Amino acid sequence: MIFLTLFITFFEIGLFGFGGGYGMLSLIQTEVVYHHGWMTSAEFTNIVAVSQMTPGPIGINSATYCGFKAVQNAGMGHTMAMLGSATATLALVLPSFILMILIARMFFKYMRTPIMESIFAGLRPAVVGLLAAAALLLMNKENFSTPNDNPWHFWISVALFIATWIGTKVMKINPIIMLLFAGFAGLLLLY
Amino acid sequence: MRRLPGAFCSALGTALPSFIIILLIAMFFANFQDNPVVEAIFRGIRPAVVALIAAPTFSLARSAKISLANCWIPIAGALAIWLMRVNPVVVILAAGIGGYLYGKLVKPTEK
Repeated sequence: MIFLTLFITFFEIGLFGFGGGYGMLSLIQTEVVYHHGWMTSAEFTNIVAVSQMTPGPIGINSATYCGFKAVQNAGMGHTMAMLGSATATLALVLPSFILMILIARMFFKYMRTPIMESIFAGLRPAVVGLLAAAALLLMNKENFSTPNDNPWHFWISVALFIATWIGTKVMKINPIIMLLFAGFAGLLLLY
Repeated sequence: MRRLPGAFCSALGTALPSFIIILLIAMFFANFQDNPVVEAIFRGIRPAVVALIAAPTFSLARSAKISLANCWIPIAGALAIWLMRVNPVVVILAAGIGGYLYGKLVKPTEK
């Protein structure tokens, strides 16, 4: 049954994954962390980090990882877990695959009609909201700790957050290099 | 391109390398998750990743031409998902239908 649930969940994410990439994050997170509990918020953030450093879209990466974890948490072995990975990944790409085959031509013909343009006039701002929601959902105690639980961990986390923001946005440092710095800082300060 | 087989192979070719990498990492994590060194490194990386997601929100807002007139859409959407745990699919559908109805009913009367 876990395989069917995986398939349905990731098919849905693939179908409504507007905005792609980061736009999908709040959708994936709502489903796999809060709805199904296949992984913790910290694990999800780790996967986003890994996706930053490896080639490949975040959607596919989280599908592969979630498929593995979900089956493993259900108490099955590595082989079945790999099958779970394959199921989730296939389910994720299937909607856009079908959609592009069926409507590749129609798509470009109807793309510029007034109806499509008003639909997208509503969708574009909503995708900004989805991205903001993804960031807000990740600002939790699993990723930052709290001033009461562990003030040292919390303030180091806040400092790393601000440093990464300034480093990538203002100083234009490569995000991967920035993550490596942050990992090194974590090893030195949060061990 | 041989149409369907071509589409299938290119889709598979794009997905396969990241699939294999993440599969290896998932297995690696299963063994090293409780390793204190790995855990410390990720404690440092996680806040940085959140910054990498938060920062592009504002550049995306600029390129999506968010103005005072429609800035309530992303704000309401984000708050609904964040605080009320509304499924993002609902937000996407509402935004699409809202845009359609606006173009159909409201926009013609504005002129």
